[in-house]
Amino acid sequence: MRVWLASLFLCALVANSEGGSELEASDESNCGCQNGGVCVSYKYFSSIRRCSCPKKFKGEHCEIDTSKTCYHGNGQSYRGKANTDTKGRPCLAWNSPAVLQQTYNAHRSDALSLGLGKHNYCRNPDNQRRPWCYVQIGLKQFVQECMVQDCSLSKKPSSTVDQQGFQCGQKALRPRFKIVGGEFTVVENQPWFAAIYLKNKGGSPPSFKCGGSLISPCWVASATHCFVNQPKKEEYVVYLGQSKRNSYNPGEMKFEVEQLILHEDFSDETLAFHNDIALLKIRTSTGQCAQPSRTIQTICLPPRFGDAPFGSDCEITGFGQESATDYFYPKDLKMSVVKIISHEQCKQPHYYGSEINYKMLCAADPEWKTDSCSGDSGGPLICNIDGRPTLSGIVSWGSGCAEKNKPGVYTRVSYFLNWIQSHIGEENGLAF
Amino acid sequence: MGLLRRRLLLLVVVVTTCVPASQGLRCIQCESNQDCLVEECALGQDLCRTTVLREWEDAEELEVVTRGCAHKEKTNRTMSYRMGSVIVSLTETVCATNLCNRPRPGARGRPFPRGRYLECASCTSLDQSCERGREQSLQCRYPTEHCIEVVTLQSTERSVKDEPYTKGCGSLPGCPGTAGFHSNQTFHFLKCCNFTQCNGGPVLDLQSLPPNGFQCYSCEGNSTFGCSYEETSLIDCRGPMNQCLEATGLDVLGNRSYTVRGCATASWCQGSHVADSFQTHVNLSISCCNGSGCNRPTGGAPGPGPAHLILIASLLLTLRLWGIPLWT
Repeated sequence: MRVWLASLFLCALVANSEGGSELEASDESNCGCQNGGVCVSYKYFSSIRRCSCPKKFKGEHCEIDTSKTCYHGNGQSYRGKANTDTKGRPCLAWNSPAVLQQTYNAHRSDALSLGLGKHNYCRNPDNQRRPWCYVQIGLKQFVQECMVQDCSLSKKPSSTVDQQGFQCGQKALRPRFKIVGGEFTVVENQPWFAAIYLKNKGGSPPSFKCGGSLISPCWVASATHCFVNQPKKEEYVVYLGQSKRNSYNPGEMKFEVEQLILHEDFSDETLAFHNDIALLKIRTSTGQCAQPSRTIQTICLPPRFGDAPFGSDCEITGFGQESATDYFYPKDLKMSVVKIISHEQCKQPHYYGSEINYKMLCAADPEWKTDSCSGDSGGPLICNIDGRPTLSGIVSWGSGCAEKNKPGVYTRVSYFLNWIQSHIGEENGLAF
Repeated sequence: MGLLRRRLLLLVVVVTTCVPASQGLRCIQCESNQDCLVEECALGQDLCRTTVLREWEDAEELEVVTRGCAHKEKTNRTMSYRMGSVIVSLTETVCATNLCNRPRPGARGRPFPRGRYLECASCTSLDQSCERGREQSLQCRYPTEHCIEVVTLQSTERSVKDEPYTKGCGSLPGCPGTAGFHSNQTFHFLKCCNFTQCNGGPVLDLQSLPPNGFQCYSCEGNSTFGCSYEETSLIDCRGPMNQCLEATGLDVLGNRSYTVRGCATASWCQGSHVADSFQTHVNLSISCCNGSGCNRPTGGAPGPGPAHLILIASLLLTLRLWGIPLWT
């Protein structure tokens, strides 16, 4: 009799357990995605769900903010990716076997709200002085404070994060550095590309004038030679997010030019253009600067005199002509890969000789098959520097297009950083 | 880990003691937080499953594992696709003995073979890359994988949705070949092929499939709401979906009947696709027929349903339990 009563009691326990499981099942119809993540299910895979995270967030619930490089207050809300202690020792994952036996681990019922999970990033789940983690020292695990900065102590905000949510050099598509001959592309591949148009009188559509690059939310860099003949800002309109010229592109933004700054030492007295850099301050009709999206991002600026090594592959982009004799500009955005040529080589007599100076960069296709050309002026030369796409050059001049021993010549942006800064200002979200 | 094993053992003992006469399969049930317990499978769920989701981005990997019971039509399968710089991979394995889906300590899964297999187009609706024709290339990871295109278009409001379009690599039921179902409200399609980039091209739209001359009745719901006689309508079938399908099952949570009618490829009549696409249903009864309009709803009274059988079984069990003390 007692045995059967005990069995009934245990059955009740199991029933309760199953009931709880059912409640949990209904609760989990939402994945618990954070930070705007989207919950996705898969009909061919039972009951698995996944948070698809927006940019800058990752983790099972999009709980990890990859853009956070410092903490506020005592770091209780810190969700970044710092993962070493103050002596550089690696943190143990919050779900590693040793840590699962500690008070704070990834399997606690409140782990998600405390920021603990399948990772080894520093957190402050117990309201200590600053973010910490468990570190293996010998055979034991110890609580150690982490090597991560207090935001209030950093003199400047993170150098990779612009104002207004931009992060320079980010794009939705993977880099393509092995293109030969150039090919059509989409602006998602070059989301900093700006198309600059000259307004026409009489209401006809504006004419494409030059390319440019978005270097901060409010500023586009281009070439002065595009504007010297018509230097009034009211004559121009700038589009971001365009893959096709003179067409509507979903996601594009239109801007007026609030300020047009031409380099005061620009010169075109010889074959070459000197100091061929310009800045356009952009503003929508409602007074906005650029907003980040898949098709609109800022491009990083290089370190001072820090250019890619000679021989590096770099990307050029534009709506320009495909050859010097083309009379109709292609509608589609085009991208090519060129190699940086050393100054010494570019100054060879059979290249450009004394026309070249240290404020310029030369780049060409080794087989002279692809090049920037008329109409590409002002557009970007993008090189990978320290792992980031960087505006190394501005399309400036050349002799013909893709002509043998006549590389494209670009304004060397790393030389003009002081000039850029003097006009834009240090606090305007320049992305170095 | 030892503690977890003891807890599992205790649970096994408990379950065995509670229902000694039960014939149901027992599986490990885990959600992604790794809290595991033993689950008695429902009728029609004759398999244990292990489902693994992995995401790779740059050098980082995220892994989520869930375990539980699965319907008897479930098979081993894989799928992977690319979204921007992220690669998402799903695998599911099934087995048929008690607790066979228990985690094996140290079993990390075999490393990916280094051979070069099929190369497929890949995109997803999450970033609209399918809709915008911005496919990327994805190298398959297993020799058994094909290039796949999965279409899931449902008008019913659900808090969690499948992505309307996914392309990538996979080994799914129906591979290679095509499998599809459509009603007035729903369009499921799977295209599975085995040469390089064969799943490229624009996304598949039901309207782009030509009518095939057959007509079938279409509805989703139960006999009083959604699939009543008045709500069931005759639709033109499209593409390779030239069979009239009727599937009925029990809603697991609400214990209510649910019926789906529409046009289907022959492969949908074998059960796996219906079970996958309407996952919350058990005890599926599926029939297909060839004549136009042949899946018309019958007006007759329903026969004794599974609910009645469950009630009878419960009553017998109760009587038996009451009977034991009397004999003692």
